[in-house]
Amino acid sequence: MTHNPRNIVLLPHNLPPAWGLTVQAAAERIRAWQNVAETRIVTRWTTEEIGSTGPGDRFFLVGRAEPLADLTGPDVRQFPVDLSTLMPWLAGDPSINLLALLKAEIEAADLGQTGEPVSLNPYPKVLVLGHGAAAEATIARLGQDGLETVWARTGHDISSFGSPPHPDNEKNTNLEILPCRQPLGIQGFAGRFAVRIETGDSIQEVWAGAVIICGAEEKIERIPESFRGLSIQTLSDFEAELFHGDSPDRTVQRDHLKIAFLTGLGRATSTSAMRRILTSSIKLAAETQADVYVLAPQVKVAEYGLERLYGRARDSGVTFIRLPEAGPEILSDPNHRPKFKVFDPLVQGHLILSPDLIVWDESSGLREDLTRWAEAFDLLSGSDRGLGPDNVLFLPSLTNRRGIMSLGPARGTDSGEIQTLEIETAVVEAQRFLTAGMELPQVIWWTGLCSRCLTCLRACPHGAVTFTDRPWFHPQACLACGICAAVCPGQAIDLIDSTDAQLKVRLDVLMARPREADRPRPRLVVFGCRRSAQIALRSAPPPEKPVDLIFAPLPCGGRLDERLVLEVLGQGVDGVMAAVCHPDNCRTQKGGLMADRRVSHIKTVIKSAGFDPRRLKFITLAPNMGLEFTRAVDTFTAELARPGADGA
Amino acid sequence: MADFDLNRADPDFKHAVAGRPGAENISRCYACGACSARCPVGDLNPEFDPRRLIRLVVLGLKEEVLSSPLLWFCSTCYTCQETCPEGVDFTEVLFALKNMAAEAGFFPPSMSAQVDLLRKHGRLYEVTDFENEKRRDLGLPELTEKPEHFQTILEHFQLGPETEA
Amino acid sequence: MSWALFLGCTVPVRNLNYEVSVRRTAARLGLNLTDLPDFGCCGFPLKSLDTKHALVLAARNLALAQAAGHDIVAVCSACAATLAEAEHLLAGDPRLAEKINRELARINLTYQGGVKVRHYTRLLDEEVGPDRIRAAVTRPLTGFRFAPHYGCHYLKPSAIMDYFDSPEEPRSLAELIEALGAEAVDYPGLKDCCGGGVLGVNEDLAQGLAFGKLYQLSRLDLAGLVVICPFCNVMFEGQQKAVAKKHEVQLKVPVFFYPQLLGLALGFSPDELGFKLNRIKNKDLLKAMED
Repeated sequence: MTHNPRNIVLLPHNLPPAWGLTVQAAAERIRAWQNVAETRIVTRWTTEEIGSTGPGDRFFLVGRAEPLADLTGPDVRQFPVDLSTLMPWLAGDPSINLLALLKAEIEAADLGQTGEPVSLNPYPKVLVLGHGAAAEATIARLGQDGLETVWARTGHDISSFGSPPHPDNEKNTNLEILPCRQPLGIQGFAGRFAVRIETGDSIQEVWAGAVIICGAEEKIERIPESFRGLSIQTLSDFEAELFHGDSPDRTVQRDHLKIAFLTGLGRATSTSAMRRILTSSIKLAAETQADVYVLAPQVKVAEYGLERLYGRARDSGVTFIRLPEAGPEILSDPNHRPKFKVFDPLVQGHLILSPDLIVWDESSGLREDLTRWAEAFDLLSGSDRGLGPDNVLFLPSLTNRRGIMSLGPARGTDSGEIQTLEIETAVVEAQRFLTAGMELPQVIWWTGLCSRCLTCLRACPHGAVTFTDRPWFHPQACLACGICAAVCPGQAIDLIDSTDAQLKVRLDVLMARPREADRPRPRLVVFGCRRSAQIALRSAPPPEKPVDLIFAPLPCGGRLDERLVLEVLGQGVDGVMAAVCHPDNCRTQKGGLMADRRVSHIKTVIKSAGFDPRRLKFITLAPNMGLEFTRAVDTFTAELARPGADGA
Repeated sequence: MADFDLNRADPDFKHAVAGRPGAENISRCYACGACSARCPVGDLNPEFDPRRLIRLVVLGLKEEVLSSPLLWFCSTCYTCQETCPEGVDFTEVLFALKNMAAEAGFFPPSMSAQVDLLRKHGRLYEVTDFENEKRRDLGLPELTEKPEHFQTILEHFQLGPETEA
Repeated sequence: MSWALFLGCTVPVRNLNYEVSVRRTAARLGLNLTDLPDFGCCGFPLKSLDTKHALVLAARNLALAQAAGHDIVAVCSACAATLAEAEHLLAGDPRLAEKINRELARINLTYQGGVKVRHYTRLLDEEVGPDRIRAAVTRPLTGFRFAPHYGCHYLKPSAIMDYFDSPEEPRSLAELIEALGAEAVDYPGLKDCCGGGVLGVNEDLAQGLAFGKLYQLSRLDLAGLVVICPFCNVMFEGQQKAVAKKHEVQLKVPVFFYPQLLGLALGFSPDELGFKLNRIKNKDLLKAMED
């Protein structure tokens, strides 16, 4: 006999008095709801106390913030209903608030959808793009795991540091090498990519399950114009002289010289350059009487041993001066010696320095063609133009597209330690997309509502949507940002666990709470990302002025739906706030950004309809910013209370 | 905003300071600013900034540092020293800097007056019959002076640069 | 344990009320204090000019105490800290000790280490303790609220003071005040410096530092401020009028040395404790002591 999934409410036997109900009274009211099969009262949150489970049962843990780790059972699901996050905010009859919130959770859960599993038949090959040490190492690592590899090898007409080929790669029978002038484009999704490559004389299509972009190192010897004519030497030449070709005359000449190492202009300082500079400066300080200065925007020590080297350099008397990224101001000097002027924030004044010799770090910057590669692969670049967003959640080797990894020179990192980590994670990640299997989709699509307008295809930042006669949402590539669901003009798309219906029922139930007749508190709806706003709410102190807060959690800012916001405003809510992760903390990279755009758009729309755009607010925050969350709400209510705001 | 010419800086200055007893730990400073944040003198006089002073030492701006009257504004409350996460012992560093300043001839005049008093009386206050009478009235024992010891100890002590012997 | 009483430069000339209270309370509580007439300046004023000579002056006092077979109890915080620091430095560096002893030899003294240095207040705290004080109190100062001022050289540098009380959240002086039956008040500026260290160099600055604290205290309901150092007394009592005038406010904060209050609670009369010399009177307190 099949077991029908049941909704079971679990109440703790000691309800906080602030909730305004005895546990018996609460249980009685809840039992009266039709969609609740059972109400159980527990003394402790343990699986023994909770009792029997059946397949598909849904447990609502009232007053608990986290699900239980060991509550198992086929398809058993848990819905913690953490009232303590909202209760400090909800003045008025607490029993009404408690029950409304619980009802909203249960009704929303009832509307949850499960999609059909999708079968995956990947191409079990990995495509590596680039040349040089990083590419060689990546291929060797892939070879270790016996993975079939295609190497689109660039670098025939571009100079490199001349790194030797990896010995293992010559014997690798699973390796196919294609000469590559440049990549032209990519289609498909993780597990099934089709990459078009321009080889020397033709265009070839490579089918691969995963792509690893390694790029290549390049030495750039461009000394900026402003430094021309000054006594300047490249770091490589200086090292060659200092460590290998030193003649006694040279050493003597270095005494009483002011030597300034210059690095990091116009881009982030690199750890390998810093290592070279620190090593040279320590040797100079130890063996000569030279006055050594290091001028850099940052002293990057984020690698093994660098902090110790830095300490040694400082203790030897090397002086470190912080530069703006544009470089020092260069004053003219009648003696044609360079005169640098730099503002020192610690001293609160300008430092003037005339080095006798400038040692210029000419080590690799990023190649220009990376920008073209980014376009070809639809990849987001970071501020240093590397193929990886400025987002810690995508470190060390992930990009905005699942199945495509970038590392080493392609990412703008140049250090040995970090590169090893990047290669390891890229290879491990690649393997996830190479085996056949099944995956549950995150997106539900209704054919009857879809007009094949292609908006979802264009909106997806992760390349998860492909089109034949209909859109396909590939779970392999999907990050569940919700942007497609939010933008679809026909409302044909929903995210599992965050469907329009679920969001709507929650909002409806909570807004059905009566408002005070006399001088009601402002009613605010907050659409908040689960990763940041919902967690911040837990540590948020109650606001200065009482507020009737309705919190609608979203899986990502991208899920923020314009229609829902307009509906909610139309129902007489005083203000709507969107609270999402900081731009470079968004787990989908684009979700928060889309929410911001949408809020701006809604403001324009309602303004044209004669409503006050100040009724909408957009903030970004981190999970530990409870205090700031409250402050934002306080600011919002203060703005709404000002004359002219029609929400007042 | 002042300009500081590093071409005239003394790169040995920081080593000289670190060579002074008590000031060895100046090299540990990484300019976090906790000292400057809590300094009570800095609250009233923002130019008095421990972190800035250390930076000037590191840059070798010897004359700027030793001739500065700011050195003498430290109330020796030890708050910086207690707060410093690296154990720089800034109050001791400042004592060392003041010593170096005095050797170079920079010191407040009230200080040399104190040295004279110590040489003459062994204390900062002269004790005369007047003082002892007040003490007697309260049943307190008489005070004596033993300046000979202090003259001997301070015989070779002089303020200001050493003159050629 | 026998203790040589180290008066320093200022107390025996400027703060006779402090000295007389120390002597009386020590005797009453069974602390054996001896006078060594040859004691001289602890060296603190010389530190800024020459730490080496300052150390010799400090070591001189330590040597005198050692020769007489005593440990040292000081009544001025700067003296206590300077002498303790000297003992700490010499104990940790035999070569330095040798160098200093060469100087001491010129005045026929030598120091072999091991003399304990304590501030009188710390002695009360550790050798007697709040409980024994409470038991010895015959006239509790009930109903009176005092603000403790620890000063900067009583608890710091904490490494030299054995961390006997926390510089960040001190409690020892408050407990000693409570042992008298009085209430010890906590206030935001509890740890603020009096500014005494710069009075000779920059009067404005010193008075600015003292002002912050005095102003705060003047707004509290207090019987007075309790100090344990003559520098702090100079700044808070001696300079109070000048500070008030310069900042154009009314200040009337009575300032007491802790042993004076201790003496009152132990039954001594205000006259016996030099209260005539306290410049800002607390009439209520004096009245209560008349019974």
